[in-house]
Amino acid sequence: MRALYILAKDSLEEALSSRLILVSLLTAAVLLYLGEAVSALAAEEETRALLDLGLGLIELVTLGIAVFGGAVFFLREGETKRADLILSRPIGRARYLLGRFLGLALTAGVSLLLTSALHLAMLLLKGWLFTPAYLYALVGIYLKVLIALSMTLGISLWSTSALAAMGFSALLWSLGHFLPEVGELLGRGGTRLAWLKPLLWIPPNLSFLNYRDVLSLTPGFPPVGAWFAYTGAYAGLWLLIAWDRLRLKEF
Amino acid sequence: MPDPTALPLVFASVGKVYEQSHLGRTTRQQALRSASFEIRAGEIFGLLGLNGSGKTTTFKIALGLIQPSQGEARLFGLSPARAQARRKAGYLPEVPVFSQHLSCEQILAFYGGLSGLGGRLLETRIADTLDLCGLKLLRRRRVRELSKGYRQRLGLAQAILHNPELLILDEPASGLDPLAILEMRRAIEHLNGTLKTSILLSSHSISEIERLCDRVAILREGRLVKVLEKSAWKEAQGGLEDIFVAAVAAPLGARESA
Repeated sequence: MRALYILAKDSLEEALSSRLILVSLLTAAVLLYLGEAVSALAAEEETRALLDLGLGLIELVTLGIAVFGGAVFFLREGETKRADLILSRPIGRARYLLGRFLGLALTAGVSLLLTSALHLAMLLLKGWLFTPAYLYALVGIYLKVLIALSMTLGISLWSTSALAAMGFSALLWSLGHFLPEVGELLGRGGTRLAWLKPLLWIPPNLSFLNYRDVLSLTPGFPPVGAWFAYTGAYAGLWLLIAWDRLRLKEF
Repeated sequence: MPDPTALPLVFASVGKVYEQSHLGRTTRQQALRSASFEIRAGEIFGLLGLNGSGKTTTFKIALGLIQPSQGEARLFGLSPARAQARRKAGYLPEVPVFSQHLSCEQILAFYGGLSGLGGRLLETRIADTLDLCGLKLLRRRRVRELSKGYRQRLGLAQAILHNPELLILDEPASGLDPLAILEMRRAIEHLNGTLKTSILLSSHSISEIERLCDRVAILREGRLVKVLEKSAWKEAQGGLEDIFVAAVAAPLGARESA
C-alpha cells in the first residue's frame, strides 16, 4: 500500500509541477469566464446555459489532462529511463501501474475540483440554487474520465505513439456516448449488420454516466452504485490489458 | 524469500535477442550470447566492452528489467523478475534522470520509500547517504539546479540508500571531472571495503577498472570472451589494457579459439 501511495503522490506532484496542467487550468478559467458572456445570450435561460456550458467545459479539460497524461506517461518514463530506476526496486509491475494510474486519477480529480469550484462560484453569484444533482453530475464526469484514463493507459502501452493512443481513446470516448443510438441503427439493419453488434461491447457505455446532460431536466436520483460498479469493471479490464503489456515491457 | 547463502548474481548461458516489428517486418538484434558468469559475495566485478557489446543488457537482465531470450539469471537465488529478489540490489544507470522539481532529499525519500524504508530509519539513511556522496550541503537543492557531476552523485546515493548487498553501476564515472571520478572511486571502495557490498560495474576507463576490480569480464558483440582474475592483468606485461585490446580487436574466430 505504501508503494502505491508513494507512486501516486509522485505522479500527482509531477503533474501539478508541470506547466501544461497550469496552462490547462488557466485556459479553463478563461473559458468559463467567457462562457458566462455567451450564456448571457440565452436570455431567460442564462443560468441553465452557464450550467451546461460550464459542466461540458469541466469535462473536456479534465478529460484532456487525463488522456494526455495517460498517453505520454509510460512513453516518457521509458524515454527518461525513470521506469528502470523504479522497477529496479522491489516493486512489482502491477503495483507500478496501479500507483501511476492512481496518481493520474488524482491529478484529474484535482483539476475537476478546481474548475468545478470556479464554476460553482459563478453559478451561485448568478443566483443559481444549489442542488445535489450538480455533485452527481461531477461524479459522473469523473467516472467517465477514469474510464478514459484507463483506456488511454492500456492503449498507450500497446502503441508506440502518444498521438495514436490519444486518437484511439478519443474515438472510443466518442463512440461511448452514442452506444444506444448505434445499437438502434444496427438493429434497423437487421441480420445484415448483426455481426457488428458484439463490437458494441468494446467502447464504454458513457451515456450511462452522462448525468450532466439531464441535469437541467429535473432528473431522478442517479444509480451511483451501478455507476461505480460499471466504472470499476470497465476500467479494471483496461488496466488488466495494460498490465498484460507492462509485465513484459522492455523500456 | 531470497536464499541467504546464494551468490549475489549468477548468469547461466544467458542470451538476449531484441526484436522490433515495424510494418510487418521484424528485425532481430542479438545483444547477448550465452553468457555465463557469477558475482561472488564481497567482490568488485567489472564489465569491459566497446559500445553495444551488451553491458547494459547484462545489467538490465540482472535486475529483471528485461527478460533473457535464453538461459537463466538468478539474483540472490531468485529470478530477478520477482520483486523480492531486487530487495538487496541497488542500481545506478549510466545517465540517471530524476524529477526536476524535487530536491535531493525528496528524491532519496521517494526511492527509499520504494525500497521499503520508512520513518526514522529512512531519515537516518538519507542523512548518512547524502553525507557519504558529498551532497549534505545540497540536500534541499532541486535536481534542475544540480550539475551533471552532482546528479551522478545523487544517482549513486539512490542506489546505495537501502544498503544493498549487490550494487550495479553502469558507467558510474560517465561525464565526471577527474576530482569527481576520484570521489566516486573512494565511495565505491568504501562500500566494498567497509560494508562488504558486492559490486558489478562497467566502465570505459580501463585504469578505473584495473584499480577497483577483483575480476573482470570482457564482452565483445554480446559474447563473454574472457573472465580474468586480478592476478591475470597484474602479471601481464601490458596490463589489462593490452588484454582488452587483444580481446576486442582480434578476429572473432581467432580470439574464440585462443
